Amino acid sequence: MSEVFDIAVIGGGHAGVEAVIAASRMGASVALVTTDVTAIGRMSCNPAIGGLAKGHLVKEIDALGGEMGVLADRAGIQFKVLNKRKGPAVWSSRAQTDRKLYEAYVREAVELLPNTRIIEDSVVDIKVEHGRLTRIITKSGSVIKVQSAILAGGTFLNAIIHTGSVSTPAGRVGEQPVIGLSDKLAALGFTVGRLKTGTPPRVDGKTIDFSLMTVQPGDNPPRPFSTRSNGNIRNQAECWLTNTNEACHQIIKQNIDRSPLFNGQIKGVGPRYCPSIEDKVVKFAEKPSHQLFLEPEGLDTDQLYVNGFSSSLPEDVQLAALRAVPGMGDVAFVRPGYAVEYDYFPPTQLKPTLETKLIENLYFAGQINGTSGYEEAAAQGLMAAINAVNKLRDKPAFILDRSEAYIGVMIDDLVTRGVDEPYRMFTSRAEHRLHLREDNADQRLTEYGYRCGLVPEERYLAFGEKYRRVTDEKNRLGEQRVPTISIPLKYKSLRKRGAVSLSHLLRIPEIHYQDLGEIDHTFTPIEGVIGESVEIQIKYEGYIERQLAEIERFKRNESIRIPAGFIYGEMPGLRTEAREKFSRIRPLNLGQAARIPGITGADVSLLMVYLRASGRIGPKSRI
Amino acid sequence: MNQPRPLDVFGDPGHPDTICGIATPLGRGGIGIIRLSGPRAMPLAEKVFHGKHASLSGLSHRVLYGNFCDPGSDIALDEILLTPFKQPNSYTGEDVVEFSFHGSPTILRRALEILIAGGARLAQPGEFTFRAFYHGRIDLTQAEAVADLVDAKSEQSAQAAFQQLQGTLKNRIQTLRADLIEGLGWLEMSADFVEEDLEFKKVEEIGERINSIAQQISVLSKAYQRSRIVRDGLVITIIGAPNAGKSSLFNYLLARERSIVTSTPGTTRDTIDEFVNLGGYPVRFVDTAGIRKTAETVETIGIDRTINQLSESDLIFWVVDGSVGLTEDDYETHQLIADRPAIALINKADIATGQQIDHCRRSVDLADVIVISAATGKGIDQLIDWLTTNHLNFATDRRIAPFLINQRHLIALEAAREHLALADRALVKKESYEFVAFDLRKAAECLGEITGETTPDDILSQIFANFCIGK
Repeated sequence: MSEVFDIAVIGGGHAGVEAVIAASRMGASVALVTTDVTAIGRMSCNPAIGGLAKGHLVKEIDALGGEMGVLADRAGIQFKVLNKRKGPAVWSSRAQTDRKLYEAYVREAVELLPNTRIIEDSVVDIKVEHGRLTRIITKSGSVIKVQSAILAGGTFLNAIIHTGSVSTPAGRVGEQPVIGLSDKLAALGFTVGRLKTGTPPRVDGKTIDFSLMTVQPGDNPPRPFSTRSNGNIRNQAECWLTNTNEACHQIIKQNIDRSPLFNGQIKGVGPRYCPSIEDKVVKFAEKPSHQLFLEPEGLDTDQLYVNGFSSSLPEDVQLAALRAVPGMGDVAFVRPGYAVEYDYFPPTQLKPTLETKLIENLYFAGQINGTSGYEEAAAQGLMAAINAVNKLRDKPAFILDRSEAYIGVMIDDLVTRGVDEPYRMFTSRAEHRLHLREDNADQRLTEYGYRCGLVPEERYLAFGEKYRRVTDEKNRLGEQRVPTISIPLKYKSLRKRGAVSLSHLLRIPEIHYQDLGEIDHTFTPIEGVIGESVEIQIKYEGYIERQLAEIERFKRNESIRIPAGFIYGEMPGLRTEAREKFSRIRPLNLGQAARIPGITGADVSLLMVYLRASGRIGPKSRI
Repeated sequence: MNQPRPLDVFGDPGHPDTICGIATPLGRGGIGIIRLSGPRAMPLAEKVFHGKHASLSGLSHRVLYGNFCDPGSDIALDEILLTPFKQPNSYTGEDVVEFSFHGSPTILRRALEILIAGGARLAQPGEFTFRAFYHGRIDLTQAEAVADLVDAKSEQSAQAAFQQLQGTLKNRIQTLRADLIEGLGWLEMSADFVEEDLEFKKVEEIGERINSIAQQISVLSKAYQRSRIVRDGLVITIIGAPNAGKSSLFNYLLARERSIVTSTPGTTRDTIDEFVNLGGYPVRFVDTAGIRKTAETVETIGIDRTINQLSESDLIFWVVDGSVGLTEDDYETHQLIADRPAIALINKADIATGQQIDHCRRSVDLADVIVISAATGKGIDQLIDWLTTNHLNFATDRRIAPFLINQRHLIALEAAREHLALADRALVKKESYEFVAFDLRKAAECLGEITGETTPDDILSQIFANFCIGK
């Protein structure tokens, strides 16, 4: 093969898919190398997109011009906003999706891309010249010349699947792992670690007695992820809730020595926030029951995903334990749960652009960076692609900071702090959470997406129009006044006499934007997201303003840049540990330096003093 | 508090020169120490020191006896003790030499001139500590404590500064911060794990945690008042009519308490300050010109000064002539000191009649009155007892933490407390937990600022601006 590609994307999972789509839309020529073209965009675990903090990521991907939100809306069969009883910063969208439809839509999206070649093969080695990536080498012997590559290997590198004592080399059930590549990378100097994750059994819905379970319906009306999905989404399926019991726990406890998690067979570190059922039963022995959610796998199938019952116990134990659960007395498996162990590259080996520090033009994205989850992976794929293309074109690096996006929080956490278990997004990881909401994701990021060439003109104009309308509506609410006498008595907290503005009323917790028409008959509320944005901006104005003031403060340290190639060895007084960490992480600015674990305030002060005193606070430097 | 100065006054610490300065307070004590720090400290010391050893190499951390000589004339200036500290095991982390002289300000000044002629530079205020900090020898709270320690005007003060130097304030704050972060964890759990059937902490429990931390913070905040007194002295202004006996009382107190710390004649104003050590705490007595009702401008300025002085005082001694009773000027004074902490001292008990004193006692109309005689010393013991019990009784007050809390600490503590109050209010108003968490996070950050866990630029310059030379 004599073709040259701008970018090779290695892996067709959620990171790879976003990377291919973004790179291609930005005009690069792309090769997508994947071991199985029929598995592009496959959902390895639960049939859902979004969820707490992950919904935020999807909205951000959407605002930047990525595809996950649109795909999830198209394949979505049940939509729900979680945490709706709390404040708007922690509202998170989630959609149950039809697994097969999702794959089909992903495949379609990728196949329609211009300048993009899909190659069914597996990458076994890379060639590096003068510290720079030049070629990738596949299992079938092809040597492909590339400008840069994004490795998005998911859980496939040296992957082993465990079900009881049976362990099989596989990336997903029935799919070959990628053997050899991580050893080659290790030989090039990369540190390789081992993580573990698990997935629960898939069961046959025809064998379930739903009358013993609680139905979990979607929201009415359903809300889409993407501003591009024009209301064509529908709730078409339901989820079900049941609970484990003592009998179920008893069976697990009796067979605990057959769990590869407990007998030492699995060495990788699993996520604490998503423990296997055997973990829950052992570590939280005092809890008599755990929740299980049954999620539909699709519209044309009876298969259900048993969320909360991730396990690597032998199949017979999983089945016996599950049969003790109400409504599942006759349950039949489509496939048992399993654990997968895989190689990852501790992400402190990356720059904030997701380019490796070791090899120029080689980027890592997704689960190989120690994250978990489709949304986390997709966001990294998108960011890696934007940066890879920008670099080829000599454009500045695209780095979102922690006050701009969850994506920024995640990548900063990864490259600055690293991971010691599979990393998933949480709202509590975002210190500027009150600003990083789903409702304003477009406001925060559309401009960037537009400048990258990922958001088309038409959408960009529509976005501008939306926020003009929000501003106009806010002004209208501020000006329109209503006599207090005409306000229904149920809004007791109102004490003012005379007349009050509608925005004043909106600050009362129990009054919502859509109620204003009822209070003031001359007022007609605007339907949809504009009214919601207005309500959030007015109701939470105090907190939002304080959060923005905090962000100003945060930006101060973030703006003190450390020159590229800064040599910490020259700095006197620095503790050996701090010197080693600064040299390894190579923080871009003082703020990032302060976030490195084990770095003390004194180390950072010292660095600041040194930069200041020696006049080395440099201009904005290229990464 | 002084204005923060830009850090560049210290020059480029990456390419340091050699600095010298007097490390002991000027004009005090039996010995005076000059500190020399920097790459040329050792050769320069060898040039001016004539002792048993010609070279200082290999003699680090040893006390050497010899003469300090002017290399120009070879005349010995003083017999001294010299201690070389080889880097990095020195106060600043650089090569340091300390010279102990016999304390005369003239000799110390001359010695500095000699060192400067030899190539050293006079240190800027705080520069030694800055270098110690720069070389990682101390952290922020410790740096501040050094300033306090050197400035300490009494034993109590030295003790508190020493404790801080050992890191106890830091430990205390870190514990509070850890408690806070634990509480924050409870809140975060409910935001991020809504679908798990976890048992979330109840509002009351979170409220209790917030309040308990706020209370502990106010214990630390209270220590500020004491710290200020420990560091700067309890300021007592003596006020009264011109012939009421203010000066005699002033002189009597000074003569009685032998441990005078410093003496600053108030040349630019009509007040005279004296430091006296009472029960281990420095007390600053300020004698004022007194209040006299007059139309003359000069006198009016004097009165304005007195009023200013009163507002800066921790306590007022209002001296009244018991043999005369209250004059019209005294009534003016009474107006001035209303609502300020004050005690009336009815003076001249040796010549006033019992009836006069009783009359006086009724007219002064203050809760605290003591009858004294500045001439005979009558009632002075009672006054000192009253003073130590009511205004310097920190040791037994368990509500006050034994730390030196400076203004930077106080600001951060108060900000933390404010955020805790906001968090509590949000909790009471049943706001969603992420709003409560917002303020708890802020409170944790404020505490972190004290220990230097978050260090905005201004903290640093503020700290270094408050050092005096030679530390």
